[in-house]
Amino acid sequence: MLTGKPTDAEIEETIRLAIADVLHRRGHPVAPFDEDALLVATGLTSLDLAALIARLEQKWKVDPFLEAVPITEIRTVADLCRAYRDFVNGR
Amino acid sequence: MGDRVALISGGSRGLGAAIARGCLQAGYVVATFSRSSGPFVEEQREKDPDGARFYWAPVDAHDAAALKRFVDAVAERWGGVDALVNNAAVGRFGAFPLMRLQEIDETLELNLRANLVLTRLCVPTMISRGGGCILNISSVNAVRGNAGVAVYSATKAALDGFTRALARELGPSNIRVNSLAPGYFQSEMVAGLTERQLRTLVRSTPLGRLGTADEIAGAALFLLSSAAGFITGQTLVVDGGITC
Repeated sequence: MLTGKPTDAEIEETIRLAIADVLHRRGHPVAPFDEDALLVATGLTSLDLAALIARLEQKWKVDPFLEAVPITEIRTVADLCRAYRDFVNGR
Repeated sequence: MGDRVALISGGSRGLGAAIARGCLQAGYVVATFSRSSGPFVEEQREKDPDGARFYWAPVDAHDAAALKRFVDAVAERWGGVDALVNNAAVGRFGAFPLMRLQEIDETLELNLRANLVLTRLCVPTMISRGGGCILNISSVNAVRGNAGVAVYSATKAALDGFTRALARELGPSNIRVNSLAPGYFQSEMVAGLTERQLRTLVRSTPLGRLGTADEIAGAALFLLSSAAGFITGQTLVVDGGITC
């Protein structure tokens, strides 16, 4: 389980950097995106999203999408950040 | 890069143990679980008391939380999983109209749901490691109808469907997914057959005998190996020709 809970800002920044890194590793262009951007608009495919979630699980030892949150509810970067914030903070 | 990591469900005895032994000989480090230990597990633990190359834990595959703890422990120990072999299964044989609902549920739970859950837990680490290989242990009963094994056959045919769909989905992530469909081989599953049933099976088999666990494991090792690097989404039948 998670020890030393990250702050909301840390969660958002980590996710933002992780998205950029996954896109970069896949050879996709990394354009600036804001919180309201659709995940597909950032260039992430569903497999990229799986890689992103695996990476975040390695960092925080949690996977909100295993049981708690349907991935189909996650459409934007903000949705993704909210899912982690809520899960990490037990909301 | 470290050793390749193989996770094999139900690796304490029978085919699972033969595949685990083959993986160790092929240079994998091996993680396996089962409800209880057995001679193979004890032998490996004696050879490797620190668990440097072999890790076993008691896990009931019906328990998704326990499966997750096991996968997490493997990731903690060796960084993730490169090869997953979904081997754990139960054979419930008997006339379908007489089968208790609980037996149907238990067979579906172990032979199908547990494999799907375990795969769900392992695939993210494969994606993040840049690739991997999944081998589902199916059965000739998935490809040929036989009386008395309806539920077992249904679970194995479902696994073959899972194999094909997942191969399409995960191919772009460099993850191969195949099924291995053993025919009848010397194992606990055939131990319950009568002499007459065994003679009938042998007569129906072009090679004129039952297989061995090592022969089935050899095919499994092939599908896990780079020699099968362009094979995905397939079911390899290893049955002495009984379905040909």
